[in-house]
This record gives sequence, structure tokens and C-alpha cells, in this order.
Amino acid sequence: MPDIPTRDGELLKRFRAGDREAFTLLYRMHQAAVFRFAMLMTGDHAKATEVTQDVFVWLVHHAGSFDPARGELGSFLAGVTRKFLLRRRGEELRWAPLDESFAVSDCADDREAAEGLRRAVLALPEKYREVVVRCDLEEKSYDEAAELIGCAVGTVRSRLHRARALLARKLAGTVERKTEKCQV
Amino acid sequence: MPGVNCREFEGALVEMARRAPLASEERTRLTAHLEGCETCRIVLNRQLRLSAASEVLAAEAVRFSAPASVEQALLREMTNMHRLRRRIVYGYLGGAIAATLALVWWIAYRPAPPSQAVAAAENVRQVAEPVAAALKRPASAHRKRVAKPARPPEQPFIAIPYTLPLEPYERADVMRMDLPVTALIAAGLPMSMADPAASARADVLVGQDGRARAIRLISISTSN
Repeated sequence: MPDIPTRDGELLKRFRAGDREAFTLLYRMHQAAVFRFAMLMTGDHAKATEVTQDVFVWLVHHAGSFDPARGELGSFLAGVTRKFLLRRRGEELRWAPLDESFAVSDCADDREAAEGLRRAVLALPEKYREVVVRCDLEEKSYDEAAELIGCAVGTVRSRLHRARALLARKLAGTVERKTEKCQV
Repeated sequence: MPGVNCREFEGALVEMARRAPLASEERTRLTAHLEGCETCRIVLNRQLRLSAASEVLAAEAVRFSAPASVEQALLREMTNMHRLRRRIVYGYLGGAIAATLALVWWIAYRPAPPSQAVAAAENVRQVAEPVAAALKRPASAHRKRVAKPARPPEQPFIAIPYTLPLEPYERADVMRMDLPVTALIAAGLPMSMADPAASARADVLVGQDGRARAIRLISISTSN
């Protein structure tokens, strides 16, 4: 959709002039991406909902902050979402210890492996989780992920490599444990 | 064609597992390494399982969507924001209108310019001074005397300084009354009286609003 930036810009301009419908359109175009990223990063529907709401409320009050000449609204919102997630994460860390362990009790299949992966992703450090979400779960290219995260392509590549090694190790441990359990 | 060792294979492992396009030559070298290295085969299998699980999770994530309550909350937020902005705009607008009205009122009803006030005062002085001078003369006897009328009755009314002139349509009454001279002085009439207890008989032109607008002196009497 090559006309998206222009359309986003126009819709935002209309919204700033008081057109509520324009904002509703913008919201419907971008809410899924924002919510998906928040959901994959937090693993919690309620938190993802709150973050999505925070992001768009922020946009309501700071619509002038977006400059269509500097990029797409989707990327802009991704950056805003990331900041809200980091802020929330910082607040959570202040109160709750990070639990990196997880356990899977049933026999493995693809669906359960996916569930195991979801929990393993949530247990990853923030910087690794983000590249896994962007590259593997949202299926962005390295270039796109680098732009969204705000780092070099090489950094994305190395973080993904490291993150996948951690995930594979955790999943392998899970699968091995489950296989042992199933054989009993 | 040289083969690859485990370290080199590890570098390409993620790309292979993510099914990224590889050059055929590189693919051949990696495949050759896999055939001879059990450890790398295990690692690749783990990565392939990870990719399969990722695909399942990604397919689920595509369906993620924020609940409808978020949209409703945003609409409420927008309504509040627009209401707040409208209040601010109306506040500024109201302030500007009030300031403009105040300016217009001040321009319309501001006190007469000094030149007019001086002229009015001069008129009063011309009327009052002869009377005052007559009163200052030493009395031949200690009896109360009444000064002669300062001016014939046909003397014009003198505007009281700093009062609004009568409108053309405004009704007015003339009332004859005795006034303390000090009140005339307080009203801005330049009276140079030695006796502060003196009183003056005058016709006072009273406007529709009950305010005195002009005065015509008839006589002044002293207390002694």
C-alpha cells in the first residue's frame, strides 16, 4: 500500500481539524499491529489492551508529533508502543522479580510447542524478546526490524541468533522432558 | 570446494532454520557439513522445531485485535479533549469580547476631556465669584443678610463637571433647593467661600435617573 503514509497524514490532519471519523479510521488501520506487538511482548491480554489504549490516547493528544515526511505512521506508532512497553516494564520490575523459569506439563504437539515458545519468549530478556517478536512472530525483515527497534541490521541479526539459541535450548529441554513423561 | 566447520555452520544456522534464501553453493557446503556432523544436525533440528512453533504462534498473532472497549474509550477521550479545547477557545473568546466591551464602554462614557471640564468650571466661576465677593464684604451689622441673586433668573444652567449630559430624549426635572456650599465645592464648582456653613439656593436639573446634571445658582446665604 504505497499511499499509506499520505493517507495517514491526511487522516491525521483531518483529525486535528476535529474530524473524529478520521481518527476512528486511523485507529482501525493500526490498532491490530499495536495490540499484536504489545500482546506478544507482554503475553497478557489486559496489559496489551492497556498499552494499546495508552498509545492511541497519546496519539489523540500528540497528533502533531507525527511527521509524514519522516516515515509511516505504523513505524511511528511502533516506536510509541515500544516506549510505553519499556515504561511499563520498568514499573513492573520495580515491584516484581523476573521469573525466567517455566514448565510445561502435557505432551508436546505443535500447538503446545507454540504455547511453550510463547512462554519462553516472555522469559527472554527484553532486547532479545523484541527481535524475536519482530523477526519471527511478526515476520518482519531484518531491515524493517532494525528500523522499528532503532538499531543496526547487524545488531538485529546477532540478537536474533542469540535469542533463538536460548529459545531452542529451552524448547529442547521442554520437549525432552515431555517425551520422557509420555513414555512413562 | 572447501567445506565448513561447526563454527561457520552455526553462523548460517538461523538463516537455514528460518528458510532464508541461500546461495546454492553455500547450501551445498552446509548440507555436506550436516551429513558428517551429528551435533550440528541436532542443533538444526531444534532450530527447525523453533521455526515451526514460531509459525504457529505467528498465525495466532495475526488474529490479535484490541477489544472494542478500547475504541469506545478513545472516542470518549476525543470527546473530552474536544470539549476541553472548545472551553479554552470559548474562554479566550469570552475574555476578548469582555475586554472589547469594557474598552467600548470606557471610550463612550469616559470623563469629559479636561478642556471641557475647565470650560464648565469657568462658567460656574463667572457666576459664583461675584456672589462670593459680595458675601466677603464686611457686614455693617451682625445680622443675617441674604445676598442678592447672583444672576437674573434667566441665567443658564451650568453643567456639573464630570456628569453625563442629558440625552435628547431624556426627561428632566428642575428642583429648587437649598444646598450647602460645601456640596457645590465637592461637585466641582469652584466656590471660594470663607464660610463653610454657607448655603446656596439653586435650581437643580435632575435627570431621569435621579442624578443632578446642571445647576443654576439663585442666591447664597451665610450662617452669620
